[in-house]
Amino acid sequence: MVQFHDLEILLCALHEFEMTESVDGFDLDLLEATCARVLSATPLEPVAFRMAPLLTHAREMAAIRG
Amino acid sequence: MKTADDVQVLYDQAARDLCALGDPRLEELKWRIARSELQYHSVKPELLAELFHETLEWGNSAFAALRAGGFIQHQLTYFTWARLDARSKSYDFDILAAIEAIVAMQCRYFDLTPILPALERLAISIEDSAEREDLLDVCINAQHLFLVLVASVNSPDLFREYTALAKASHAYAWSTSLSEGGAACVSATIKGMVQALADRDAATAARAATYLRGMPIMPGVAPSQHLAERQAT
Repeated sequence: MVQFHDLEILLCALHEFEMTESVDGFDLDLLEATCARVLSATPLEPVAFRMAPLLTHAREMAAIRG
Repeated sequence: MKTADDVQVLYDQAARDLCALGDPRLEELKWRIARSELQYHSVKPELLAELFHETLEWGNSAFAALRAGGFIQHQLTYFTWARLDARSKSYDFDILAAIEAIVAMQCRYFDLTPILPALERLAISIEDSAEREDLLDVCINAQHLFLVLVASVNSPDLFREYTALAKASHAYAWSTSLSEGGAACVSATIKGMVQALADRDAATAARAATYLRGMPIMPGVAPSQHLAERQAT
């Protein structure tokens, strides 16, 4: 079952991304773990599905920056 | 980050969410959301627990069930009751109808033989429900039939876009918009659509799909006559 707290975290991060085109202020490990948890509970949750590629991109950007 | 790209996995989840039998205490709430009777304010598990004099754990479970059924949507920073007023519903149904029509058109190129037995079984279930005048069952089964059809294209992205709207909430809302004779009309149109898909008559199948979503039911007018009149105009 999807936990409401997980959805809140992802929605907050998604909103931040829509405002700033970045999730720099967030803990990427936490976001990735939360997103994976939600998607494993339901692969159709729209907030998690939209966040997944954004997190992949954020991880790549973090790696480039070192 | 890995997302499920197997349409079968996505379809199984969507079908489970669509047909899920939830807590009976939530049914009245679902109908009120479907009839757009609730104010759009922030919804949390705490609110649900308070409304039903239940524990927070129950509230969490109810929230997850309502969210999976499409009865709770997200806005910028919060969750709220699904917006199912006439205007929103009409907009959403247009999107659903467009996807369903495009998929129905593809029967011209794709062999739908493997999914025809499932479509025919669901069409029979719809007929049985229509005979009982069970509008909700008719709409849930019709939505289930369209899930099978859209899944047959085997496009995970398209299926995700489709299931973002093709949820139980919209089936409830659909059933509230059908008037007397609506169940029989949906059943007859679905039957015709499945036959058209089997015959690879793409135009008839697509026309039936779009007709269903925007169907203004006229009591006393046979569905075939109504459809013919609409085609003539």
